[in-house]
Amino acid sequence: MAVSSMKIALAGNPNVGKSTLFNALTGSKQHVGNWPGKTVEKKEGQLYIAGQEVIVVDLPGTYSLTAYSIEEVISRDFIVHERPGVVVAVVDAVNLERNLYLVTQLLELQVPVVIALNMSDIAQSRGFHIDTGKLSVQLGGVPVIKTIGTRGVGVDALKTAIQQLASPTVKQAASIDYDPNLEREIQQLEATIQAIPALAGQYVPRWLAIKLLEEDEDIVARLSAYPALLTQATEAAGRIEAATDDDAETLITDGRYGFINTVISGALYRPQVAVETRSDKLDRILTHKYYGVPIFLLMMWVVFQMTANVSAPMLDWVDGIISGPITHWVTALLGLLGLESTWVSSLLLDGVIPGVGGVLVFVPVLTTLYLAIGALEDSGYMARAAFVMDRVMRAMGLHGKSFLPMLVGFGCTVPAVYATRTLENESDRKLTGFLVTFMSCGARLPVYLVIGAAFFGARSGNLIFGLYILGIAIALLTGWGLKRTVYRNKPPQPFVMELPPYRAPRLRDVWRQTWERTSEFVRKAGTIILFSTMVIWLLMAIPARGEGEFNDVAPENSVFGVVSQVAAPIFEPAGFGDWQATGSLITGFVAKEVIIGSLSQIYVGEAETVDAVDEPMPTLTEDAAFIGSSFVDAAVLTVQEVVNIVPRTLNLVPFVQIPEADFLGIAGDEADTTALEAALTQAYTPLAAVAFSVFILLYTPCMATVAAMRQEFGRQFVFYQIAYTFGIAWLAAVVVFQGGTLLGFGG
Amino acid sequence: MTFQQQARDAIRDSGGRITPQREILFDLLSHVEEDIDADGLYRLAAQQDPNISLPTVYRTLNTLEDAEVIASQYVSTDHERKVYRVNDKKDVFHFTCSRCGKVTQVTSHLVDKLRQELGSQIGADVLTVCMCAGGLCEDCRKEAQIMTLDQLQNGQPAKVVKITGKGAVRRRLMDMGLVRGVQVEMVKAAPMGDPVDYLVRGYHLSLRKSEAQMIEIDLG
Ligand SMILES: Nc1nc2c(ncn2[C@@H]2O[C@H](COP(=O)(O)OP(=O)(O)OP(=O)(O)O)[C@@H](O)[C@H]2O)c(=O)[nH]1
Ligand SMILES: [Zn+2]
Ligand SMILES: [Zn+2]
Repeated sequence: MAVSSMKIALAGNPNVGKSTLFNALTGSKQHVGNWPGKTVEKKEGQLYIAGQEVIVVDLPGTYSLTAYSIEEVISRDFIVHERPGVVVAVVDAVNLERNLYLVTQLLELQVPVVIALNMSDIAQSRGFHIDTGKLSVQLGGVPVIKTIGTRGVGVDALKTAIQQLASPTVKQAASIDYDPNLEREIQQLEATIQAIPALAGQYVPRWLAIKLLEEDEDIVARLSAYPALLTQATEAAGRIEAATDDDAETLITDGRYGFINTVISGALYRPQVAVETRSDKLDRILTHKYYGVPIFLLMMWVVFQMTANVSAPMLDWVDGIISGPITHWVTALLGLLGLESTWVSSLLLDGVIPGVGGVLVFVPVLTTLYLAIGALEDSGYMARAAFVMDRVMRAMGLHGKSFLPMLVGFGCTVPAVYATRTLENESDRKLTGFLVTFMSCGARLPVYLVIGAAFFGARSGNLIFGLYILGIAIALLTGWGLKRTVYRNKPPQPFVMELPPYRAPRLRDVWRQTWERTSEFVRKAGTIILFSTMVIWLLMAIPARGEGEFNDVAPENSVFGVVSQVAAPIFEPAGFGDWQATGSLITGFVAKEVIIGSLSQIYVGEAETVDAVDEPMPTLTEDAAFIGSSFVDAAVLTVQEVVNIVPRTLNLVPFVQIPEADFLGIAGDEADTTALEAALTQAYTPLAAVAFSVFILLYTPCMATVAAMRQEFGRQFVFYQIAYTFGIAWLAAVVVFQGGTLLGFGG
Repeated sequence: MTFQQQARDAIRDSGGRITPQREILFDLLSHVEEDIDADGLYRLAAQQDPNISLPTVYRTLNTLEDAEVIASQYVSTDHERKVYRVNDKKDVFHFTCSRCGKVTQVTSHLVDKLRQELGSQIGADVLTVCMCAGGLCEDCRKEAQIMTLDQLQNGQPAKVVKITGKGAVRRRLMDMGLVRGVQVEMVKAAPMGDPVDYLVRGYHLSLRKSEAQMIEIDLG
């Protein structure tokens, strides 16, 4: 047999340690991508067994292989059509019965299966005893290997089992005893399928017969070219129902669980007295009738604090390096090449470097956010959050699980759009995806920060908090409205969710995921941001009127300025009808954080030419020292921000006033208002600034989000989304400005 | 004419004698509150006169029925029992509870309609219609009412009997291990009362009440 490289797949329920085992098997040799045409993550890695290369594919975690969700369809399509040499079924030893259900379906697909009995350490500590030999025999010869994914225990034994199983001589002979009436019909259908070569060559006939009797929508749709077979299946299902007073679906599930009962009998010993586990004790508090909601809110507050404040020092550090040393070096390099003051230098200094900066500055925010979310997910709290919040989310016509994308939306709308995938139902997904843009994302935060600092100084926190609340309120209203109109006739969606046991999140796993997600952002969104910054630079460099030539034109005379000027009057009633604001909003469609960049390009960019001072160029050592010392400062400040979550949280309680830590003695030292802030205060009234912020909060999501939404929900959806968000944003900004003026805040 | 007089006439017309035993039967028939079958009537009469015989009771009832002084009706859908009452020319029939056996007299204006309709269909004069109704009486229905998972109290164990409904939710519930005969225990409700955390096959599964309603259970 000419073996190129064998393919094996990892399958299992969610949260059983599949990824952990995948990492243990493949080490760092892995590749993360997407399933073709799907946004479901696909992980592939390599491992060597006895010198032979084996490709491992990590299938999405599923409970079953029906057509219930995209993940299930992906998993079974892979097994049916790619026929992996071996499927490693990762099974949670603590939860054997339900986990074996997926195994019964793998066996029906007639692929060689080896069971990795994972979490065997927890099973042992709970007093379970599992006789793997007996289990294996009762499963008709499926090898069962005890593993502890986190410690790499059993990985070698697993590899050996895979190797042995890959030889075609090994036969597994498990058979599920179905109800005789059902069995008879399965066999008849099987015979019919066997007689259709096109089907028999592609599917396992018995499996296909079972799927047809289950009336699996996906399979029925794919076999629409075989109406006779489908009719035969429908008739068979009718006969079964008449004979047994039960539908085929029930009998099949009964049969599988019945098989599991015989498989585990005598092989699984579970202590009779149900001990209250640590997880149960935790749950008594965390989902408590009275404390449950406050604890939930506290958790969210901490996540919010982490993304809003903890990442700030590192963000400043990155910013400082880019605007300091890196700019110096590039300038110096350009000087050496004799390119200073040409359009090349302008492109690099005004287009590329700010663009790269705009991407990198975002990294610390996303990293902290993903760390926080990873910890919540891995600890098992996320499911509780959905459990606690479902009632409220349902009032908005959403699912408890919609909470997760909403929360992610506070970090970045793009992953939030992808996070809607956790929702099984299409209309739930779309509705959540529609509302997710109103959760004020991390990219909007820097804009508020600058505006807040410029106009409200120490009170800028109130503005920012108010904006977040407004976003949530608009989402609530929109959800309420949509549920009563567009989604009026949709049936309520299921909420069948496992509450996994609590676990201490492992830093390494959380970090790995954080790294993957953040670098994905840099790769995907990063290119768009970089590209768009350069496009904007170009638009600003091309003269459209008045005097000036390429790369030497006043912004208001550039193409960009002219376009902005034409559009500006739309915003007159909202108080910011000048071309600068409009221009920055146009760039904001490219990416929200660009607004600040383009505002400073418009306002400060001009100013800089005036006070081009001849500062002595810092030496390399000075720059290195600056980078080092500012990093230490940033690290200390990060720790300080983490520590300060405690006083900030306690200070929420009325009359409590705990001072915040100030390690470097620089708190309140916010005198260095940037040039941009100064320019903004001159150009706008505080009320107009608030209206402007409100508009930024609500208006059309950035290009990256639009691209993500298009992919997930289709063109039409995106069209409505853009129209609605623009409309509501304009309306809200006008209401704020006009209302505020009426109430006398206009000055 | 009282019932007793009608009855005596009927017996005489058929050539029978008016004995004290028969008088007892007439009296009982006119006074019993509910419709009575031959056995019941015999037992009551025997309490007053031990000499009365069951054949006498049957003969008297048949004569009276032929003369349309009393009416008879089958109860229970298997037609095992026939009950009698004074013929008031009303379309009364009986509902028998299949669980406790209780018989309830019922009537409906639809019976009269039915008679007319049948009459016009076949051009006959339909005088009697025999009808029986069976099922669970109100008490029994309440008692045997099927309990669903959402009604399960905290800490109470129960067994799944059936998953009702259709479609993806039902499929999912079964995939998650909620099949016939499996033990479920309610652990706790979410702070706002819904969803609810259940313990199934050793793991925690949260369901909305609306989903738990699809699951029929048996306590114990
Ligand atoms: N005690 C113990 N913990 C484990 C073991 N294997 C994995 N874990 C932990 O279980 C948690 C879930 O592991 P993952 O590898 O993320 O599980 P998964 O199946 O990939 O989960 P999904 O990606 O959500 O489908 C992590 O916190 C792991 O550290 C094990 O054998 N013993
Ligand atoms: Zn009854
Ligand atoms: Zn009848």
